[in-house]
Amino acid sequence: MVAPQLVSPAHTDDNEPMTFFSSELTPASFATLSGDSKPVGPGTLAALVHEDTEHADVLHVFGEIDLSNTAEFETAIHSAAGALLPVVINLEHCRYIDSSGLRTLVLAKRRLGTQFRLVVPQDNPIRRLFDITQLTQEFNVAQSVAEAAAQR
Amino acid sequence: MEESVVSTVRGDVDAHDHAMSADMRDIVRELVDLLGATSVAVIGGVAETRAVAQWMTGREPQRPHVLRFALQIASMIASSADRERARAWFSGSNPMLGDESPILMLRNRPLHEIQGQLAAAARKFAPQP
Repeated sequence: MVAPQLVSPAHTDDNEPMTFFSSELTPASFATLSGDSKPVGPGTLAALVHEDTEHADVLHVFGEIDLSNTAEFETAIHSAAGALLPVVINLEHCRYIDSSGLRTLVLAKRRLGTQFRLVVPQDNPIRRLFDITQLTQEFNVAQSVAEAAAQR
Repeated sequence: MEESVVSTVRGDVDAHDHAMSADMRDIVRELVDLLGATSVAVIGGVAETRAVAQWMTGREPQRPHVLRFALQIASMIASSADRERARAWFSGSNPMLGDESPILMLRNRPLHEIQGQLAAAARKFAPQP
């Protein structure tokens, strides 16, 4: 897969730098966390975690997606894509998504075609939004990452 | 490590003592066992689960104190809930925490600001015998 966009490197004592999306904590933020009481920087609404699995590249979304972080969301999807494997966007732990987030998903679907997979479980409140906008069928929304990865 | 989730079920004081004294590799392994690698990545402040795998084999995480505290409260939660409920507690909005989710509080805010709130919420969820 294409390497994630390196926004801010954080060096540890040995290996290569770890990569952070712009919404992630920077080295300065780590210093803040361990030292004083200043809040960490912008982009605190959602955490985006990329996971390589055998059958798919999975982007897990924790928190909320709105206009303030859709650019980061789009970058993260773009970074996760690139290999022959499907890209699964897992919204199981996403508590809110607005129209700008939906637009990002629609554009990603257009770009990735059948490689685009989406997980929004029935019991997640945001599922209703996908049902109302009829994107549930458009995206062939799955209940789990395993189900999404197995889609054809 | 071959420990199962059962061995991480501890009382309040035991949870603290274990989380503060255990080897960091074991801390990460137990957290992954309880919460899953993606949640541990969020708590640890990284964007890839690959980093979590590296922590389990000895690479030093950037936020060891946050991971230790996360294990302390995860162990408390696990004393009265199965894995699914423990994971739901960490990622769900919590009215005791101003409708924030514990996992994002751990990631976004200075630990000393949230330790008391999170410990109290965990104690409420998993009352001591």
